[in-house]
Amino acid sequence: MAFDFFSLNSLPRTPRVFLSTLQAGVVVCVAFGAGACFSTPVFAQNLIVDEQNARAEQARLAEHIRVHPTDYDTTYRYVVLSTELKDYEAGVGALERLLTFNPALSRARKELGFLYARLGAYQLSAQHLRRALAAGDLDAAQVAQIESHLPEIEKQNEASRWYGRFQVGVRSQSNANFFPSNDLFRVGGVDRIGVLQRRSDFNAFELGEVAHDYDFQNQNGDRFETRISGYATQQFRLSEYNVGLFSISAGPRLALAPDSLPGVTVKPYVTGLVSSLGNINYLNSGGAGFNVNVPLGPIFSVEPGFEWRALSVNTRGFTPTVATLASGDTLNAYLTAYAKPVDDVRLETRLSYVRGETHNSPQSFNQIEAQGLLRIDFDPPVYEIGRKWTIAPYGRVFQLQFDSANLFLDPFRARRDVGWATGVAFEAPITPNFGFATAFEYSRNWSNLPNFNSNNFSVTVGPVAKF
Amino acid sequence: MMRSAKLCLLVSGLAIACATAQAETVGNVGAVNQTARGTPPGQSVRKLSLGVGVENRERIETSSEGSAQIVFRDTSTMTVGRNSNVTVDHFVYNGTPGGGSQGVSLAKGVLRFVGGGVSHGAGANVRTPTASIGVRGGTALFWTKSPCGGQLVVIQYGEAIISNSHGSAKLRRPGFGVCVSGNGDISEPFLVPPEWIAQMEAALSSDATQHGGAVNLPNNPDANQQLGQVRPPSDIGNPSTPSILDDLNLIWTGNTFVESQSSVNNLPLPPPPRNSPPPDGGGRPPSGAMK
Repeated sequence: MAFDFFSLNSLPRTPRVFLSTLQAGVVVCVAFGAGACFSTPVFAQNLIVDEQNARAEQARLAEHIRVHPTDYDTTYRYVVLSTELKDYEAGVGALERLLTFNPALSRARKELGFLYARLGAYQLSAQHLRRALAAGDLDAAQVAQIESHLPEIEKQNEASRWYGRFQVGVRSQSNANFFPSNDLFRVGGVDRIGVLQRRSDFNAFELGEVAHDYDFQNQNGDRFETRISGYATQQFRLSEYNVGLFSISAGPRLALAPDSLPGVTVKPYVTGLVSSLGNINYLNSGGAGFNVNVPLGPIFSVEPGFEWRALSVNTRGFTPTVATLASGDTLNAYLTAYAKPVDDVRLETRLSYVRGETHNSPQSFNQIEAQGLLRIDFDPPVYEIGRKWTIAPYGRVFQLQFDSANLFLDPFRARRDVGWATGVAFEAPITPNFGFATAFEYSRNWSNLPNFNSNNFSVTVGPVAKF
Repeated sequence: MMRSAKLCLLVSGLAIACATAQAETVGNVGAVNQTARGTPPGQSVRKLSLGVGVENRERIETSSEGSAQIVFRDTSTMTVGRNSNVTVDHFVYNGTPGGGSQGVSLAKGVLRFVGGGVSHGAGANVRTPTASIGVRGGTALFWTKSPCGGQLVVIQYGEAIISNSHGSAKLRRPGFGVCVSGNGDISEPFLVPPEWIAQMEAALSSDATQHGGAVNLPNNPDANQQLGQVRPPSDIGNPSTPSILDDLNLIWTGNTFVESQSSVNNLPLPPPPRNSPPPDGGGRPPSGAMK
């Protein structure tokens, strides 16, 4: 049963066909991109037909166990199929019945606890999971699953909730100083060979996020969200590129109109960032924004938003005006979209438009960017690991267009870049609080000025702790 | 005389047969701990047993040890707790989500309703002595004599609208409830203490010696084999789990800083004017980075 995502032979025929279709869809997504995944008519049609078949099978099983309530094998099949179809209430009713027959059936109690969590009934969920754990007769795999998720479920019942994730590790970069691919620089409209060279390097890095939700404990689910993140690197050779970055955002997330627009929330927020480069203060920013989260049915949600920031950049050197970043203001309009067609697959995309108004007008710019990440969770090869592992192919592409030519670089040509990056992230929780993560990424930047044509291949690896 | 008696018997038999045929089975007893009794309309009290059909307008009563789960044709379930008295007012279901209507009355005791085809669309209705509750979705708990000092209604999924002549309230967040006092006042929604939920669950569950009418009990080894080893989804306990894209954006931001500064550092200096000293600092190559 290792890697259950790819091993469906133990399932009954209909859900197996259903899930096989989903797998095929995932493969299409990975191979041809998210757009192909969701626009493929054959895939969509198969999905609908197989779901209809699965629902027909569920109805048949329901009819059978209604008059034969002690047919346990059929009841278990019904629970599994109902869960796959996200008909969690049907599963709850069947599991409650099994527990009436045998209140010591801790395996059913564990499944019931997780189904209540899926419904958002965290109090009931925690009560059942604690009882299942206390029974002491679950096997190690089931115990590990409860121990991995129960702390988070119990946290949902508290007004003040903290979450944290930290990673330390090593990162290698093939082009740590972003040196142009062909060694060419344009200076004053003339191409020149650089005097430096491309440098690869390793760094030690620390990446951390702390999130705090203060739940106002009203019916709307209103809460105050604080998000703190930090990232620091210590280059092994190019210490002038050591990065230190600390950002914070805070604001309330409020239900907009719970009766007429259920689930729609708005979040006004303030945000700030301080950073260092080469161990010297580099960029500070502060601003405010808002976003609106709009669920579009059980699978999709979108989050449009807008943000303003004031930037203060301390670029060092003889020619700071050639730098990409400069002091000024940025206006950012963005749209994040989420899709979760099945439990273990989540697609996240972000589109953004940034207008940078800098104090030095040639450095003012427009940037449009698209990012996408397909998160696929799968069962790890060891039963005793309670949490799923994750593989996430991702990509980004952007276009950066400066307002006017920089006289120092090319008096007749305004800089225009097109960049992209693609990679894959992998995360493997081992215990409820510790795991291991790695990522591979290749990035490329094309520019109409040779100075900014560069590529870079990076690998990050290191342990992860979370609470 | 004899012929008249036979004819009379035949007519009576047909009438009974017709009445029985018309008494539609709307659900079945899914589990039962004794004592739980049912009283179908126009019939005498009967002891409920596993799998037996339940009819419209049937009243179900349980003793201090009794409980029963009724499974309706739309897959919704109603668990009647100890010392309870519930009547199936009506149930109509045409097989499509939301196609039908469902109503039960809770005269006293504890009730758990887990929704099915009817409640997913039109909503089901639960009447208590002092309020009418429309459940859409949905999963809800009801308790007539609760620690809140009145009737307690708790939503666990979906939404519930509680109304009577004194006003109305809507429950939409799992774990929230309202208290309806004896004179009909409906409280503001509040987060129900977990102890109250646990007390309701205890009143609805079998104790260690009860088995819901089953002779052969379900066991963990079979459950393990049939339910498999599939783990719950990663975000089950934290729907707002941090995004991997957030992490990547943090790293990309760091990259942008380095790229921005390195575009200055990497730039070869323009040839200095003749007879002038080189400028300080600017464009100085980083240590050890000379070709």
